[in-house]
Amino acid sequence: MSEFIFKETVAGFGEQLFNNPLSRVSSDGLGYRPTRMRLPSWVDHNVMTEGVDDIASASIDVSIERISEARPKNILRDSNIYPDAAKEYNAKELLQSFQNSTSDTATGTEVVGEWMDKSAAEHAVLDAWAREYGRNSSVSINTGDPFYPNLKIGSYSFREESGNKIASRGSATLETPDGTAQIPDRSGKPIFNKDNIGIGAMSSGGGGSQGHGAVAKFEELAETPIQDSIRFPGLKGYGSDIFTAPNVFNQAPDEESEQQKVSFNISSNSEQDVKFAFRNPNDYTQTISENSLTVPEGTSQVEFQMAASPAVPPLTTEMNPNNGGQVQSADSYSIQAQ
Amino acid sequence: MKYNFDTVERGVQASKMEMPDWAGRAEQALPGSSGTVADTLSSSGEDTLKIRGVNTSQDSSTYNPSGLMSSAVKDEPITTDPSRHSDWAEDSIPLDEPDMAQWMVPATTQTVMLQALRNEYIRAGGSLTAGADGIEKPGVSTKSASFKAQKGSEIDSNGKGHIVFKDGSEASVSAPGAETIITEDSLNYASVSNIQEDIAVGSLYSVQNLANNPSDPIRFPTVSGNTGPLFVGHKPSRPSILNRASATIHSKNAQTAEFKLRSSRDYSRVIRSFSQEIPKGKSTTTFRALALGVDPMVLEINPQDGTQAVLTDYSVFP
Repeated sequence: MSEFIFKETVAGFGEQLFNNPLSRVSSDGLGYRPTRMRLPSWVDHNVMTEGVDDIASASIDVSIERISEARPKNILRDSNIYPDAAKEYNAKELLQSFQNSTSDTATGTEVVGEWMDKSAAEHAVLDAWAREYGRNSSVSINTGDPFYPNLKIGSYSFREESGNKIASRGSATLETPDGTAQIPDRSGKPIFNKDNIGIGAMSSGGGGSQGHGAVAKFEELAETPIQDSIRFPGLKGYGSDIFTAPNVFNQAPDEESEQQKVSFNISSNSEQDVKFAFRNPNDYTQTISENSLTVPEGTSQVEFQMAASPAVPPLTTEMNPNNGGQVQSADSYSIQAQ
Repeated sequence: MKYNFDTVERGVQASKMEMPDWAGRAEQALPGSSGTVADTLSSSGEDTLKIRGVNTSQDSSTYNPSGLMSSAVKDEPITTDPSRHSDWAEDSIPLDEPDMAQWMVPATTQTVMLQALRNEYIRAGGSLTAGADGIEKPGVSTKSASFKAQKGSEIDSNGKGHIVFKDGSEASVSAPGAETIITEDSLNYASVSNIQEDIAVGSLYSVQNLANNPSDPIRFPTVSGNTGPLFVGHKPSRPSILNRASATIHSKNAQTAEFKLRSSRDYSRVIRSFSQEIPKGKSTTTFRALALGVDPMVLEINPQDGTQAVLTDYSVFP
């Protein structure tokens, strides 16, 4: 069919198209699951190649308009794992409640240090995010210490290193199917490999053996139309800047057209810059178009037109706020043929 | 490629099985407006399935499985013996440091066992996600499911912990203890151990892609005294009314293992099951599956708790 389109037959669903196969083998010989996008049934090889090239050569004129107050936090979803945790998108806001929850007899013998409370707070925020994100799509998350017992989610794994070692080097090592990435201490960063996308965040914990990390792997990208709010998880930020994790979406036109109108809403607590980029669905390392949006306080509507020949292709959308924990959520995302 | 389930439904990852091209062809060829004829035919293979001629022969009385893998995240000894892993963890973990705790020993022991299993399962052509940690803090999550955060004292008083899937559905796990958790489209195993005031240790594995007819060794995970099952795909190469199946198992002790053949359309449906005496050492268990048409299935092999065992290969003819 095409080296960029993979057809699968699934009982009860018929034929489905994806940009990557279900599994591949990494250079170390181990199998892994790529990050996949479901492709609309109308796409063909030319759309996935010439259409993508056409987007890369065009400029996009984006308009942004504040339309209301920021959406209240109570529209966010609860964590399944920590159902009593407050609906916060920054883990820092949950830390106090996790610290207060430890029994006196457990302090210092079972719950040994703040790293455990911070890991739990970040687990709660990431789990709730994963629920918001999952609508026939999926992002996998985990938090904990890379030293003992270990921090891993599928093929994304922090190398076994003590907090002291991470602090002295200033970074932790995240192993991925495409090699290693250095994750800055007390912060984080997204990982865009050719066929897999993840997020790593780490804090050395200030000189002890244990650190506390967070890792996420996008399994299937959430596809348009998106109608419910998806938070931007805020991690770390305990004495340093909050690392705001990006959202990555599958902008999938359901109709074939040379002209499409894109619209999305985004909420922020204060003015903040957001990197908005399209990446090549055939190779996530390639940014084919990038804009910086200044999002005002409140909920804003972003709109723009896209044109490409033979048709506007499905694209990987990266929505990446600057660190600081101000941008709350992407509230909707749609694409419509013109 | 042809699969039995969609990869992601409601954000929940299914345990997928790669199906042979011929699977389901008869159903598609029939006029299925009402579905009744097709439904009857599609279920007839499972309904008429019979297991005959179960037999086990000992190939060697020595337990010395080769080809095991490490966790690749630690430098633990390569073994199926959890006590050796525990001794290694006791020696490796700097428990005199103020931010370390004793519960990290069983958590690390279980982590290396499950990650080694994961690597062996991937080598055999499947995919599996696993993890072990403190249930309340920092939390236990795999790609498919998580432990609901509960204090050890709460788990202790209820006698159970809880697994929660991303769609909010839950399953309970005996505590202390272990459970095989099967839904229509997912295959999981979880255990709860080392229950204290706040922290209990949870471990969890979920199959993502079934290893069909594996020919590389895969351990049965031994976690806190419990031995978990292995799930492998029973994939005939062509349509047939008779399959001859063969499972080679290394077992450290003589034991009774349970074999369950589950439907590839609904894993919660056990089509047939049988128990079989497995001698110490290496042995081969064979059986015949007969039906109007033997469908692809999932074989669950369940060793006795506390035993160490390795599945060397599982073959199906045709």
